[in-house]
Amino acid sequence: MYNILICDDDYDIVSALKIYLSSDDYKTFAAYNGKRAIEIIKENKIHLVLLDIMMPEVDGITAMVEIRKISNVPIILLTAKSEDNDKVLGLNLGADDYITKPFNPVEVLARVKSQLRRYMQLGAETRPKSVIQIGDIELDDDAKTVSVSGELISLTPIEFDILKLLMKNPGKVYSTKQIYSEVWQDEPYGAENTVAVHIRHIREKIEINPAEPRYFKVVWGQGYKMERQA
Amino acid sequence: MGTGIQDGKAGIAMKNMSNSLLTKVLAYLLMTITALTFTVTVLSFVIIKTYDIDRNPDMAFFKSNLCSDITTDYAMEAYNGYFMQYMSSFPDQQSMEDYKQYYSKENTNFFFEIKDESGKTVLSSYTDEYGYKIPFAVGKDGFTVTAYVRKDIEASDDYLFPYSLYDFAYKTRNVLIPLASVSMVITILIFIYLMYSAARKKDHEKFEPSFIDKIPFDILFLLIGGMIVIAVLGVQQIGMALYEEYMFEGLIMLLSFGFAFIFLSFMVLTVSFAARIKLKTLFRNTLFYIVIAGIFKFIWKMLSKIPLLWKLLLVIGFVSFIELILMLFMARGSFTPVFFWFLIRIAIIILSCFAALNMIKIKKGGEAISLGDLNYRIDNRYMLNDFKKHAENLNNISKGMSNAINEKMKSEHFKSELITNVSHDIRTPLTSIINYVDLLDRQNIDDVTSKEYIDILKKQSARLKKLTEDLIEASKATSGVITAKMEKLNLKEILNQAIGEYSTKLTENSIEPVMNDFSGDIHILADGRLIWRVMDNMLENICKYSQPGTRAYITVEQQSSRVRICFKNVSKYKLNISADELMERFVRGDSSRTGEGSGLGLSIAKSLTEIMKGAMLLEIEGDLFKACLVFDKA
Repeated sequence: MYNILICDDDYDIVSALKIYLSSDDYKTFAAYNGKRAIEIIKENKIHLVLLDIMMPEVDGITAMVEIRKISNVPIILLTAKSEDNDKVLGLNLGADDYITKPFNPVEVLARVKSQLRRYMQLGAETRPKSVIQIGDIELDDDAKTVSVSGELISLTPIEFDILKLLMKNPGKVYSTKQIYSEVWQDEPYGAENTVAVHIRHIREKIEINPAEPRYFKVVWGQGYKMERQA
Repeated sequence: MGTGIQDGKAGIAMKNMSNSLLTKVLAYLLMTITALTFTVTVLSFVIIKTYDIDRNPDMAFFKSNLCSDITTDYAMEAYNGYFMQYMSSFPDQQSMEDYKQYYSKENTNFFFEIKDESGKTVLSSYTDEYGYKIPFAVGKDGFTVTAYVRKDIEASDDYLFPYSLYDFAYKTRNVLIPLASVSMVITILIFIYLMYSAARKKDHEKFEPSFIDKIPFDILFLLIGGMIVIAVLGVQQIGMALYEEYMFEGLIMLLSFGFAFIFLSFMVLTVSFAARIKLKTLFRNTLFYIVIAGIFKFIWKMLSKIPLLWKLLLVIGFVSFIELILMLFMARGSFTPVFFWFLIRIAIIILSCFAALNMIKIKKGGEAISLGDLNYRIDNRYMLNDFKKHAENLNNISKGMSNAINEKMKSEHFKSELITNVSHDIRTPLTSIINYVDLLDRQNIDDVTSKEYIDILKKQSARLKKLTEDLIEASKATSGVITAKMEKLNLKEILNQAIGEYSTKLTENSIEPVMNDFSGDIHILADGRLIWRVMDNMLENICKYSQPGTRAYITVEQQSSRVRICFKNVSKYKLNISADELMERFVRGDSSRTGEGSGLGLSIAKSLTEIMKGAMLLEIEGDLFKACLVFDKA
């Protein structure tokens, strides 16, 4: 049972989120401005914060800086600002993730789950060598399994090989040609376009929002890469 | 209607065929043959007239110089042979027989009588049946040889071939004039065709130079002229030798090929001349012009590189030097005028330098303004009156322009800000709507009508979400807030990636993407993220507005320095709308506006493409929708 603090100046949004989170067995706390949020964190054991940026009195960014002084609880920003600058600023100032309004409730739940898992279990277990972990994606080369946020997902052998190749060298950009010759062990005569299709399928399976991937990124005009750390 | 189109097509096919290389080569060859025919027939006609072949066919050959030349040679040979055989002290029986056999009726058409100084016949192969007497006498030692040629030339010797030619000429005398006329007409027609088709190429609308037309004309002229001169000299030399040996078959071959070669060379030159006149490159594409133009360009470049002040001093110095020398000559020792001239010259130099310095300042200011530095102000405090005014005008222009630009920027920025803010304000209530509709949907409602209403709410709120997102994107794209980070991108990779991203969506809408085969080495200059936004919008469009079950074509064409990427699909809706209208904001292919989509996609794609210094073009042909992106090659 995790405690989640929802902080937004819009009552309706807060109560909607309360309903979703409660139905997944989380205990929720509500705050309608930044000041109240800080007080609640000081008074209670909170495991995750959903924080709106634009709020009266103390805004979300200021509140986050205050929270970071006392706690390293995961913070997911809820924001109507979708500009890249705002995202980068938020992440730099200590946010763990962000969700832009208007959001899809399913996506909020998935991200909450992902953050909690990382926060609660980070470094808790020692893993066998055959396991590669990036963010909350775990790839076990011996068992040929992949799990996201602890849930096993099913990949085809080709998809598994592509994911393994990219996870082995996070940060490195692979062109479709390279991926083809590594995974298929063959010369790619015009067959590279199949790689892009496989990669899209992988992303649909491992990413919460495949259009805005956190791990498996497209480097346009160059290839694909796995982020070192989301 | 239908036949009209077919005629047009046939016309184009004809045009293409008539301008193809094969047709041209065939025309050249045919023309050579007809020209040769014409020349030969005219020559034959002249010969027939000169030697009276038509009026006196039997005698013509025997009266000709050729016949008498051959006879002379034979007579000399016979006479020398006679001396060798009969005058030698030990006559050899065998070679005597050979000699006689050589002049037998079977072997030669030539017969002779040799008489000594007293007029007594010493040797004769002449009999009555023999024909024409060719008067011939050798004065040596008082001996005379009388030569005869048989009337019916049958034996195969030097007479036979020319005689049969004469015979042939006589027999064909009636067809000569028609043949000459026909071959002349054909030659002229082909000539007209070659003149017309010069500089025309298959599948080209405009005049195009062939590889020959690209050679500088003076060089081509010398080359072909030289070839013709060498050919003429060669034919002359070899022809003379052949004639002396009476090898007429060889001579005819030589003359035909020589004629064909010279004629062809000349025609190539003529056609190229015509092509150059059409292309207007007759003078420009000569080595002479290129060299002279190069020299002038070089001098001009050198001059333009010298600073203005030095240019001025150089000119004044040069003029002054010449004037000084003239003055010294004129003054003859009196130095007063030279001194005054000197003073005036110095004043002129100082004034000119001052003017030049002013000019340089103004030039610098003009350059700065033209490069977009609108805050540059020319310092016009120490300037001559006219320059001062000019500098002030320039300053005012840049001031006015910077004001106008600031105003424009402010209003664009304000507009963009307004749209962004309004959109943000819409987002918060929209979030609630979406969430509560979703929560409502999760309630166990059995009422069918309520379920239907919830579905409508869900669909419409999703649309509203997409609309606000597109609105922000569009306002950002047009207001200049977005800057492109240009880098070298592999085009094949981008297209593969983009189509890969859309694989699921394309399959869902049963659209088959087809990409043409192009090199994997084409790189373009663009911003990776922005180009994805463009591709995203293009493919989104294809998914949304294509007729299901059709193919969408994505083709890449290389141009000299740019690359053209075209997306073609068959529209689901009737496109009774112009391409320009379709590009405008909020305009959509389905005029009822019932489907998803904001109508901003193409407008966003266009703005983003333009930010990356590319261009987007739309074409509509019936239900075929075609959007092309043009980018610079990297």
